Amino acid sequence: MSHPAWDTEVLARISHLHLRARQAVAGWRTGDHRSIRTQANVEFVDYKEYSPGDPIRHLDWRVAARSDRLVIKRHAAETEVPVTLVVDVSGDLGTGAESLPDLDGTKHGAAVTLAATLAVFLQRHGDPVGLQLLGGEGSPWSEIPPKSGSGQLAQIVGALAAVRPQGEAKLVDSLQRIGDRLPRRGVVVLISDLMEEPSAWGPSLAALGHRGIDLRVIHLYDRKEWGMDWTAPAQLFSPEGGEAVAVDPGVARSTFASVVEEYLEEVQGWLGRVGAHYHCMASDTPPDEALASVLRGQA
Amino acid sequence: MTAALGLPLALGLLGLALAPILAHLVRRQPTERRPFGAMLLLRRMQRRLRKRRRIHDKRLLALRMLIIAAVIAAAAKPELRWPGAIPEFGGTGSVVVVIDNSLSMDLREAGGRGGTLLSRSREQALELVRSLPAETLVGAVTIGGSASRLTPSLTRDRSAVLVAIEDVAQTQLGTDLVGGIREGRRLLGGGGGEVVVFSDEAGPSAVAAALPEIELLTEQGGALVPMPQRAAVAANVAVIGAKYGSGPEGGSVRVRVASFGPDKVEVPCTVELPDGTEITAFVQVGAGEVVEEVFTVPRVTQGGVGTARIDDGTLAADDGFAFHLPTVGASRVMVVDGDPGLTPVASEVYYLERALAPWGSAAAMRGGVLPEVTGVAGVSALDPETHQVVFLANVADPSPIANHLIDFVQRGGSVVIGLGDNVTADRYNGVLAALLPAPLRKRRALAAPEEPGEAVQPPDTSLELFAPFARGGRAAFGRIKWSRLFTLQPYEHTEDLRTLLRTEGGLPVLVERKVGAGRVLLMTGTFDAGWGNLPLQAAFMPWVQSMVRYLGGRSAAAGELREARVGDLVSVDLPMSLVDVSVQGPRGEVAMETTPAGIRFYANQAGAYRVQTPGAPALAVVAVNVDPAESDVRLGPALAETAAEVDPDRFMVRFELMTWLMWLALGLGLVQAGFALRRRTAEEEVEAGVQHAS
Repeated sequence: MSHPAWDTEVLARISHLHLRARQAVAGWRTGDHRSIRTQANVEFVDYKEYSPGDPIRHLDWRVAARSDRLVIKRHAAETEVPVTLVVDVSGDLGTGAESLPDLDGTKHGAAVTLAATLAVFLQRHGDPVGLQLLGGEGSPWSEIPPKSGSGQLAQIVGALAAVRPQGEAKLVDSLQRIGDRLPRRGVVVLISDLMEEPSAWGPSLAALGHRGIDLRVIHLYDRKEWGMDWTAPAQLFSPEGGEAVAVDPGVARSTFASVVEEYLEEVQGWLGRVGAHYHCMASDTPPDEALASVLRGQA
Repeated sequence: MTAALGLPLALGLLGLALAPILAHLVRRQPTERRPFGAMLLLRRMQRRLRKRRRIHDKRLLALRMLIIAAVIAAAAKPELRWPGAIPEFGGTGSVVVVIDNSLSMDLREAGGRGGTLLSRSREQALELVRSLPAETLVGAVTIGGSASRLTPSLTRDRSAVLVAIEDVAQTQLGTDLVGGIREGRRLLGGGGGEVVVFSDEAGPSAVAAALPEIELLTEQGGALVPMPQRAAVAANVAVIGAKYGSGPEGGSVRVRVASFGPDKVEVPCTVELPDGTEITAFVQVGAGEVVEEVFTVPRVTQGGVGTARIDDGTLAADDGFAFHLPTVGASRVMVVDGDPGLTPVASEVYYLERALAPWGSAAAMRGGVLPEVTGVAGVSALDPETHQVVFLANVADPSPIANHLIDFVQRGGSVVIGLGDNVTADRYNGVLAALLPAPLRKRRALAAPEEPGEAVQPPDTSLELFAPFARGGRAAFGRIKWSRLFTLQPYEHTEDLRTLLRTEGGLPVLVERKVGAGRVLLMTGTFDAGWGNLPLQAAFMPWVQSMVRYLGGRSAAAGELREARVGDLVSVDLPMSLVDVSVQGPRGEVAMETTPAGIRFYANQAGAYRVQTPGAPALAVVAVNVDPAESDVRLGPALAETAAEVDPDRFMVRFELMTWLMWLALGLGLVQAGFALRRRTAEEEVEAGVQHAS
């Protein structure tokens, strides 16, 4: 495989992904969304140009009257809340795609799209944003610390566009590693299928919460998988490895549904104890609702 | 128990039992492979279902394997075999019926109210003989005591055999199973045939001892067909021993009672003494235990044969046990006063009376001696059934009483002859020669009138007469001094003649002679103080008392005392001079046989047997009891098992398993179908849909 920077497929994908993200952000009605920052302002620092989504109450009307420019007052707390996008790009999210999976059809595509959209949105709001990739291969960067600026956005979008689903997310180890590098206060947006035992990764997530990290989780799933939406018996295997399991979906469907239900209750239980914001999203649904939910900080 | 197969090759198909496993292993696996991103959830579902699926799968698998295995095993026609069968009877053409009429076959069922085992055996044997084909040769043997043929040879005369079997009588004898099979074998003439044994097979060793005979029978082509006669509950209580011995009052009879049954029992036990006195106690005996009950005999009791008896009812003959009892208590003594003295010192009777009954005649019974003083004329009243001992005290002329005395002694009485100044050697030697240990010679002075006289040697306390002085008093004999004694003609010691006491100078003082059934003691001195100081010494009274006990005890049962078992041949040695000897058994006179040494007879009933001659006490008394082994009616090793060791095929119980296995397969099939049906419920279907594939 060639270097991602010269891979035409990746370049096209970067462009496409960037475009999708900007379209998504542009599609939102002005004023319907606000920045991810929610901290109360305490000390004025400087001005920034107004961008859609900024709270109107922070407009400096005097400046607007004098110079006909819309500027927003910035305060210390707001400027110091970095956002880290933790994106699961393990093999299970690609469900066996030979090459870069379709951005619309797979959990991987949904995860990448969500992450890129959030990055664009946050960059426009001048928020420092970083990226952590869990698993995957092909990306020149798997770890991008939060920063502001267009260069940072290009780097993030490039990494998301280039990464292929591969390997395991290893949520436990990854969350511990990320936690060690995060600033004391910040926001972590975890985009994952959470296909590891909640009892394993739950404590690691709780440790982040105890450090004051604002946790927001987008739980991706494949509607066909959870509904066993196919007919012929098949041997199911994980792209991440392990033994195959022969399943006749016609007879296993209902039991599997009850297992899924039980699993979701378990996940929500853990996240509830941590105080994390949770949003469950099928991979074939538009990202708007999920993004809005994450930005609002409530389901 | 062993197993065998009628068609072993069919077992080769057992490999088919693995078919369900193979079918399970090659169960169709889907060929399509599909990436799946929620394996975590799939594995959770697997874990949830795995346990139940494993149980159900294994259960079904096992059931199906069992069904196939059962069908194949059934095809192999398996059968179980174990020893203990009674072979099917008939077909050989020669049959010998062996009937056990030993004591144990008298066992009554239903607590003594039912019939005996022998009566049942007879009925079965009769039925069997009647059912035989007309051309079958039949013989019959009994095995009570020693085996004996009821028919001299095999015969087709069915009625003769039937009559002989009907006449088989109950005995109190032991079981001769070995002899019975041997006689059966001989009746078959060394050829094939069947020996049908009707027996309770009682006793711990009778069956085991029969093994060699069974082997011989089998070798000659014959077969043993046991027809066990067992009571529904094998239980019996028996008196297996009774013996008189020392003890308080007049001594004790120790009675041993055994229970040969499964339960603890309590039975009344009665000791009946020869004089008719009965002493009863209740005896508790545990299962398989032997207990000893002690009965105290009164101070005064007539000697003879007593009986210890229990009330059981299942086996009457062993409910009693005969035992010998000596005369206990007072001995009736006649003192013949030949020289009534003017003063007590000059009267032998005076001293003898005080020695025999020192506290008067009322207490004499308690002391054991009832003296009866009489003159020579009173001897005519002498009766060996009444008197035990006669003291002749310085009788001048014994001729009027000599015949009475000789007859008395011959019949078991005892005479103590005391001499004195009235005695003359010629008169005594003439008429009492049959009694005197040695002819009298003459009076001899051993010391001057004023001198103390010649002392007596200490007696031999190992002799029964002097045994009471073993622990003390022996030295007192040394103080007995004789100034005058009768000397005797030379004599030699024999089995019937011995010197019991001498002076230090070696002169005989007391000589004993056995005569007939009785005995004579000759004292060469006087019983008064005329010839010595004997009556003045401390040893006098106990010595006289001991003398009476010694002589009286023997005289009470003067004859030989013997013990025997039912069935024994009892031999009794008798003097040639005796005539009209007879044997009286418990049921009257018993046939006897004269031998050069005496007589002999078979004791075939339990109880007392008396060998007697008219007008005399019994010459011998035999207490006859049954063999305790016959009382043990508990189940021992079965004859069928022993016979099966020799001829196993004939005695095998066969149990064919084919039908049962087919039923088992059918039942398992139904169970399997039920499981399979249940497995098709919704959840089971899920289990079927989710399998593990490597």
